[in-house]
Amino acid sequence: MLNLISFQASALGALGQLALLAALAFTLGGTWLALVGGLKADTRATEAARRAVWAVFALVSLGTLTLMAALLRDDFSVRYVAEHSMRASPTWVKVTDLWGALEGSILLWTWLLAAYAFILSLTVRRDALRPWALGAMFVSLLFFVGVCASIASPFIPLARVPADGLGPNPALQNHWMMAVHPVLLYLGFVGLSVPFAYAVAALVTGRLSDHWVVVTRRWTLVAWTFLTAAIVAGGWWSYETLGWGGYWAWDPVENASFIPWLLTTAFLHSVQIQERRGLMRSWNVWLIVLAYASTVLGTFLNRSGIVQSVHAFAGGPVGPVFLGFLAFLLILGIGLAAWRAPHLRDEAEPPAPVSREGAFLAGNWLFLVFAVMVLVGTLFPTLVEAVQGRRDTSVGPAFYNAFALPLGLGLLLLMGVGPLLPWRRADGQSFWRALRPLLLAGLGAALLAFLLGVRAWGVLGTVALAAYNLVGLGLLTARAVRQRGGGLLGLVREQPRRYGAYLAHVGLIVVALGIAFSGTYKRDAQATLNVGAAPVKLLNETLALQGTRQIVKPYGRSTVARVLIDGQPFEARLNTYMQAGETAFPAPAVRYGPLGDTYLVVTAFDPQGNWASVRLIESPLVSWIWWGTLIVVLGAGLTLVPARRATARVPAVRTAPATD
Amino acid sequence: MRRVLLGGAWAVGGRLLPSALCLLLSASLALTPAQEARAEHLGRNLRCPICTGVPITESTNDISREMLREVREQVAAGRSDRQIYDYFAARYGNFVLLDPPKEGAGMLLWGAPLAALVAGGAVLWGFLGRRRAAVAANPAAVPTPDEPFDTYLAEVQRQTRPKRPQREGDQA
Amino acid sequence: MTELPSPPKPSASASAPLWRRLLPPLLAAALVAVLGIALLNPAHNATDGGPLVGKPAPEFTLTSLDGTRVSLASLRGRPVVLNFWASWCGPCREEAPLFRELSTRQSAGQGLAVIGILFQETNEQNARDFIREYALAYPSLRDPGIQTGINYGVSGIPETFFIDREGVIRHVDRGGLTRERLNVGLKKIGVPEL
Repeated sequence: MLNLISFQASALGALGQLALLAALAFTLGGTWLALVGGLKADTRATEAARRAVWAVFALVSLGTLTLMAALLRDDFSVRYVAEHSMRASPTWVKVTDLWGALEGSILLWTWLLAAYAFILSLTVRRDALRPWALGAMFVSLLFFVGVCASIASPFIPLARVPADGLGPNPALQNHWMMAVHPVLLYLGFVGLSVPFAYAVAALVTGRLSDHWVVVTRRWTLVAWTFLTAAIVAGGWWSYETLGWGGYWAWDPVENASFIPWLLTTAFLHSVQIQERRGLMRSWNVWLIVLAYASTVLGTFLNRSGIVQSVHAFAGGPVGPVFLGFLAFLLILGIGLAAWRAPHLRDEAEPPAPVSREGAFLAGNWLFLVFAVMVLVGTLFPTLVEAVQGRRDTSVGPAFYNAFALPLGLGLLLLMGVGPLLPWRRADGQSFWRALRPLLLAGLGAALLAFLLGVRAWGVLGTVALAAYNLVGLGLLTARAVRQRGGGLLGLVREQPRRYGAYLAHVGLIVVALGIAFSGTYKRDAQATLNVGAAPVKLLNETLALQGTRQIVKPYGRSTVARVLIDGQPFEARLNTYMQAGETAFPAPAVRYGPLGDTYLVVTAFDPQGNWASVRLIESPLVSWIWWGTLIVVLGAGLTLVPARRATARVPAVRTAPATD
Repeated sequence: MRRVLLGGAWAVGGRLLPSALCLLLSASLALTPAQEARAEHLGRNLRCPICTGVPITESTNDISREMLREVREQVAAGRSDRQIYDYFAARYGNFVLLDPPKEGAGMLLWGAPLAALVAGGAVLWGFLGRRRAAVAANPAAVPTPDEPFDTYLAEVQRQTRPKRPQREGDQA
Repeated sequence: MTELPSPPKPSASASAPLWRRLLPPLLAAALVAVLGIALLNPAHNATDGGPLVGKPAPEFTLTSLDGTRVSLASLRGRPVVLNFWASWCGPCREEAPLFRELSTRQSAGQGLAVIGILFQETNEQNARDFIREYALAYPSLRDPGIQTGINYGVSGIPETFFIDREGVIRHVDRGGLTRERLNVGLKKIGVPEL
């Protein structure tokens, strides 16, 4: 039996543990109340369940704050602090230690889940779906609070209180993105549990309330925005610290965050068909269930250590427990969907192939194929291992890129078609007429790029489709402005959803261009530079090593090389940390530019300080990925802004809000 | 299992001097630009056997560097891509092939996305085809454009018609 | 929502065939089963096996720390235990007493031969001290450019190859040997257990 509490050993530890155990008690009670409320249509039980959520949120908050206080106060009587923090760390590292190791990351996850449940409890309407939505949320909470309060508790008493902690994982002290990326990712992952709760409620009751579409769409959009920002922030982190000048390696855990993104993106489009036409109801429920299941799969892969990944936490007792939860969710969730989704009947006949619905569905098709491709690639080595009994396969970027390129181009193609097409159906002739300027723009752009020396067909295709999309969105917007009059701003205020979506599409085009150019035209070269020697010509630059120096900090040391690249100073570092001995973590010096980055990594230093080996990387348009993502996030945010009441000129907008 | 792995995925190795020397040595073998590009491509698809999913071109430990040197020598000797991949697979297993061969179990891997594409396409086609079947069976069921099914669209049509033929307008 | 009075829906999908309803949960169950097998029997932690087992051992001719040349061909007809090691490797140190014991069992003619190959040794003096400390009575060979290491697919040390009289690799052990694991290998190349 696990010894969970010891009042003598640690006051803070006991407080945190008590808070989590009390939260577990309220979660159990709340689950029961929600179930009673749902089965017996007992509104008093449902109301009680709703209030139980508040108690759970308050208690998990208390537990999280306790751990944070223990981290900041260097209270090594708390196990997690003793094992994953230390006195010498700067304060920001102590804060990020909260999610820097397994137990803390599960606690943060639980806290965010409780926070989302709290918001849900405040916003969920009084209808038949309410107890079931709360109940589904409670099932997720039950698992996470249960794990947090028992086998993965950060508060399990220590036999002996150490004088100092073991300190955090060195790779996680190397960059401030540690404070951003994990939190964003969890906000995205956990956010999907709310649409999932609504989906479960719809499946159990076999019906959809009036506002189901609006609510699930909004929640999914919020989660999707966080997920988008998190994935790209992770890429930027990788770019800034790993020293290889890349941002995406098709690592299993990266893939695990990408699969839910693909599925939710598909959902955000197909839910509009349901909104407009009352179609695709069961399909949309399926997409939510699969997206949520894929987040749990990702968490499992990350925490069980069954895939080889730079991100994986060490294994441990939580692997089998997460597998149990994954099994429960996948088999029951998918079983529920398989059994009950057919009850969510559509009200109209299927759409015509040439219509906006048709374009969205074709997009869904490609998104799902993309998701299947990533899933198969990620799990294939594990599958082979399970069958053969030996790990004898790797799936690398060659596989993913072979499919991602055509699928991505296909999606860009559909992205331009979608906004152009009317709902229901378009006649072929007028559709082609509308498409013609876009195609011409695309061809022209590709030709121009070809004349400028671009030969890679992936880049040519991306350039063509970027021009095609931009011209399409530009024409649509210009026409709307001309018809309405009164400028772009008023138009955007009237239809934030439409123009938010356009803006997000523009952002994606910017990202696509960044990926295409930086992926294809990245160049690197290596050289060993001597202090004071004549400048070395590398790629298009001249490099001269001015000197090296050491900076000693209480938690490690940095060796800094000062290199002049074309006369501009770059300071690239190799950092070592107490916990990792001589293993060096590079901190490249990057000069960001709108057309390309210059990226300098030190790979080796002379102990006497006379020379340094460097790697110089030049990759074009990398920054476009980060700026493009910012545009995507702004666009997604804009779609959440309520529409200003339309002027009398276009009264119809009022009667059909939230359409595009 | 206790075993010493030589430097982590991103670790830049504790033994600094040999690294730098090897760097200079490996640059000494002269390859044509085409051969250089081939060696780079091959190196990108060979996994560093002691790292987590990193190709030998991206890791700076000694064994990756030696493997890369081996690749360059074999490229210079005119061996085919296939021969070079087989050379490493025979020693380290298929595990080091980041571009999994399209044969045997690899066919399952490479075939799965294509199968998903075809199956998904068939489902989509079947779904959209149901409309045609419904239209054929019951033509009256299809809303005609005159039907006031969508006030917004009707309004847009009314608004846009005077200007010039629009896509939305063309639907009418 | 723009709900519209829609025509009665063709009721084809109302009752999907049973197999189509069962398929998704079954796929999910299969996925969970695979993950479960991989989680509970982690084959990637296996300490034996590999692509070279059952294949002829790659040839080498290398110079030992004391300057004598040793080739695998010259040992044909004898069972060989080939150990990749370095002085900086902790587990190598732990298994060294076993190798000391094994090295006393060597004999000329048809008898066992033990060979060490240094893998990325950074300091030869340390290696010499190591040999003296554990009284290892067999040659340890230098492997410039890790050529032999790569030929044997060595990715970490210690790694031990058991080669039979015909020069075929019969067993590979990765990670520090224990007496039991050493005996498994010795048995496969027809050497009496330790």
